[in-house]
Amino acid sequence: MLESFLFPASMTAGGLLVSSPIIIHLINRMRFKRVRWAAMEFLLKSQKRSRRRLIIEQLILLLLRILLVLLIALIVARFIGVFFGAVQPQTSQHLILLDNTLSMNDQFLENGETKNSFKEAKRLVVDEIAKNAAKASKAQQLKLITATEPQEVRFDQRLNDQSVRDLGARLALIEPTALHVDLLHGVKQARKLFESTPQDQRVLYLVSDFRQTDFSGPNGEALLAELQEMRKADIHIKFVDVADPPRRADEKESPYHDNLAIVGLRPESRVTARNRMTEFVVTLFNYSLTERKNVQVKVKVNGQDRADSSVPIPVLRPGQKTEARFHVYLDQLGVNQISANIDPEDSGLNIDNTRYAVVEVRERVPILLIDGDPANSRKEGGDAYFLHVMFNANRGVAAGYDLVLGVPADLERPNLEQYPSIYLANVRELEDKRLAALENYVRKGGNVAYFMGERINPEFYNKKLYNDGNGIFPVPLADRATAELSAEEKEQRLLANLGDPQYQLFLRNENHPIFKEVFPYKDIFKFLSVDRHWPVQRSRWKPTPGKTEELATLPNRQSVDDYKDTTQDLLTKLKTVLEKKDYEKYRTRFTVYHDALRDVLTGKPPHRLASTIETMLTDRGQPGNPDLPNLAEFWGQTERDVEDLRGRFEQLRDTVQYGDPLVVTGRYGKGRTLVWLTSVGRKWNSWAGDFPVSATFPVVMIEMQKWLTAGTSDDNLLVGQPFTIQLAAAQYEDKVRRIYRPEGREKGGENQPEPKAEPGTQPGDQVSPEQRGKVEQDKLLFSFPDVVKPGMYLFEFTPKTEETSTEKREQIGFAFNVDTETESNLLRSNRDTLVDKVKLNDKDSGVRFYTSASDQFTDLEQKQRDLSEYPWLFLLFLIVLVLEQAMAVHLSYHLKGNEATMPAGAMRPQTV
Amino acid sequence: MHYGRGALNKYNYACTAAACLAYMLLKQQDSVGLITFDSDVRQVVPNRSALTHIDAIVKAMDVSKPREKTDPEKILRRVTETVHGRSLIMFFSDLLVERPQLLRGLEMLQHRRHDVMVFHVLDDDELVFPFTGTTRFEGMEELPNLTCDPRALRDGYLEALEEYLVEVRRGCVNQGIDYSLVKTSDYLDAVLSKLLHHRMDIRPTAKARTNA
Repeated sequence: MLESFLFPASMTAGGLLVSSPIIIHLINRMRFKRVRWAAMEFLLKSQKRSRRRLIIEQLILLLLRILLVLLIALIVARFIGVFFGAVQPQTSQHLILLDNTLSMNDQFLENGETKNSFKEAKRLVVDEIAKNAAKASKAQQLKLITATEPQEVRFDQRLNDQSVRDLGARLALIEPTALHVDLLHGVKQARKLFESTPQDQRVLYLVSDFRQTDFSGPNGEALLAELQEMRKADIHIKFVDVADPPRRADEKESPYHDNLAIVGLRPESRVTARNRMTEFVVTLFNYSLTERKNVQVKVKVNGQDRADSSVPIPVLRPGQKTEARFHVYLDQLGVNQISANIDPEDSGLNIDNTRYAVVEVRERVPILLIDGDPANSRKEGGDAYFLHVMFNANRGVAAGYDLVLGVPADLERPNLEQYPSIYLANVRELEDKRLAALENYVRKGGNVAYFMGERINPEFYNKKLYNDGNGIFPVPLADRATAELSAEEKEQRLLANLGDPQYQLFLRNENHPIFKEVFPYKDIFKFLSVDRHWPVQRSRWKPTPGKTEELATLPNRQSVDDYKDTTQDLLTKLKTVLEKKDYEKYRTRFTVYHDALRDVLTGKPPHRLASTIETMLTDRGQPGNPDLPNLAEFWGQTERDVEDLRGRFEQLRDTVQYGDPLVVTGRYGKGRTLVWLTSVGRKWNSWAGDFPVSATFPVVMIEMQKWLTAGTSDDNLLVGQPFTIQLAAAQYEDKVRRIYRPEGREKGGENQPEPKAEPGTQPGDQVSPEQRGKVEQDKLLFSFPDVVKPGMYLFEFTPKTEETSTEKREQIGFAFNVDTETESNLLRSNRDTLVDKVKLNDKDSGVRFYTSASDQFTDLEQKQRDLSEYPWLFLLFLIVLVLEQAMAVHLSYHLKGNEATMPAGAMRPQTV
Repeated sequence: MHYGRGALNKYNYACTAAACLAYMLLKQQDSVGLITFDSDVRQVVPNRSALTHIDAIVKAMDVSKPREKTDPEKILRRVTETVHGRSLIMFFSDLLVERPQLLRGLEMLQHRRHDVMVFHVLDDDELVFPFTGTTRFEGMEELPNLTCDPRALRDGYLEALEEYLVEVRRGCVNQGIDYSLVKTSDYLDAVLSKLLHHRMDIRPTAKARTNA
């Protein structure tokens, strides 16, 4: 019964007050005057005559007064009606999930004031959601959580004027983050919070900018599915879109701000030598519908502008990535922070206009060389002689490097991390302990290059290093290296090649940094002679795309007879396909190729077979000449038989053309590996030395070294993602200090002294308290879940030595950047799609979509109409009041004008 | 007769009026007697004409404290039996009695050829009934109590009073009895003066009727 009233307490009080007129009447009956009266006869007569009328009138008056009290109680208690069956919830639980991810920084100008989506979100939360909800007639409880920290309830109060002000004050302290998080976490937390109040009316407000990246793909589908599950639990879902420009009701696809983002900044090497130019590749993405021109990428090194490194980009096409390269002269030893910046935009995101990279600068970049034949390492003819020529600290071709000749035992040294890369040249095998140290080194981000030679033990390499594709060696080796060529064979091969020069090395990826420089001059590789190499067991090799890549391949030296049957079979199939009438015009031309292929199969070199197939697959004929039709058109047919045939011809071409791999790269943990399947010296090939092709050797070697140290997955660390550093527990103490070094440090005035910094830090650094790690077996694990600001972070460790001093501490630097891939694209979701995917059915009104320009927020009031809102109730009250007054007057409770006059009989002449 | 909120209650007022008239009659050497009563005759002062007789009359009125309800027929019969000669009988009462018995008593006096004058003494409250608020009216002269809102009963009361006054006046007129309604708030001199003038006016008429 009480649920029929908004303020049941008032109704209870009113119910008690209903008896007040009776009580007052009874009290008045007890409080009377006494009059001794003689003329009782008339009084009794009067009472006898009017007794019934009086009782009725008194009862009517009493009822009117009771009715008045009842009406007042109804008005004050706000009677909302009687509900049969369903019990109406008394409290509404509003939960606001506020998106504070990176894209909420999307800014725009409004009336000369710069705003962003998050500011708009805060305004809508306070002025529209909270204020309107507070007007509701029932109790309204409001909770607020953010997308990045959903487990922390930022606000939880019952709504009224004061709490709405409190909400505004709390929100003023919250700023958008630079993070990307999946909104699903927030929605799940919201559902959890709702579980404690199943009896209340529950409303989830998803206040966001509704970018398409958040609501599409598997994550988006999962998010919408979760929202629908909440809807099934009778939770109302309200989407509140705060992005600018505000959506219009009739717009299916909403406009969005143009945005330009730097999505990548990659140094050629993570470790470089001092006073050297280091190349960086900066990648920009134009997330706009229009072309952008003349964009200047400005470069800063440790916060200082480097105008000479800035690079202009003439055109940025919409929806495309554009790469640019720039060089930076690094002269400061230690960890350097390099940032690429583009000018701020009037609208869109500015936080993604800066990208950070970290490069460690050393006096020289040390390279550890483990030579299988250390005695002859530096001698001409030694396995690693040319590596010494290249990377020697004093007279090396490549300046800035310091090739340190070591032995396998050096792999056990604790400071292996000081070497950005390790070369293993013709090393037979490694002891288990050393192998484990090497694996650990690569896993943590170290890089290894292997160079083959006659000392290699294939069993060790396959079993321990390759380890069925799980080791630090990217390929399985054959049982033995190719046989050494006799002088006659060498001469014969040379002469054959001089007569018909063919590629002796195929570069498989023209864009790979190692061979990119030499690719334009690839013809020089027609004169490369690789006499011996270690073949790869292709049958055992399981290359993983994205992890293992074959960069260079030797030509196929097998007999063409090996491919005779396959070629014949394909030609037969081709003939069958060409019997179709549609392909009649190609028959004559294919007859020519048929004959050519049959000719090649009669003892010609296999590369001729490959080239003939290639010509056949790419022959464009001669327009207008029916004898020379466009065969590429034929191969482009989508008919299954043709597609299948084309695939098999391509496969045959590659098989015939490509022999054993020569250079293969791989990944292991955070490190990179590379195997050079021939010798690095002149023992097995003519690459190094003074041959014409040798001009490419230093270039490839230097690029190889750069690639090896160009960074691992660490160069693309994203803020907000869990970050863990692993150290050897035996070598480091269980403590780490994290230092955030802001790029744009504000310096004091000229007279102000530079503030004193702690040892190992610089003024302006933000030093976090020392953190302890977790020991697992022999590893020390340090986790940093709270890296939220983009920029450079230094992690300072203390090695376990006898004397511990600041100088002994080691620092590693990492750059953390914003997640541009998921946050920079400001393309917005389709409103109808969102609502339709969450709605339970077409009639479901529990899902609504609001925009910042919407005037529909008033329906959040949830104001339940009650009797006090109907004018007729007050009219009834007025009528009852008038009747009561009239009745009271009628019953002589109010004096009349002539009331004190005597009866007419008494006014007559007194004497008769 | 003891009700009254003014300077004089009805009894006092009636006594004062009666004393004045007695004094005036003794002054013109008429003999004057007095009978006081309530439910029965309480004091009887025989007729005398000496001026000093006024003291006995006043003392008898002072001594009398009427309390019980009057039976007028019984009283007036006693008066008829007591007064043998033809006399002027002035009857002071609030007449809050049974009207038939009253009229029968007056008729008996009229039959004995007495000149009867009725002074109907009432308090203003009894005529106006000005009471407000819940009031308990305690019946004097053996009447029951009544707790009521007097304003609710006032109209009925005044109506019943009006009927009563009409009935009494009509009964007196029909029997040729002088009837005067006297309010205790009226000035006594004015009341007496008016009475005497009235009596002087009707005397020739009465003589002529007697002669006829």
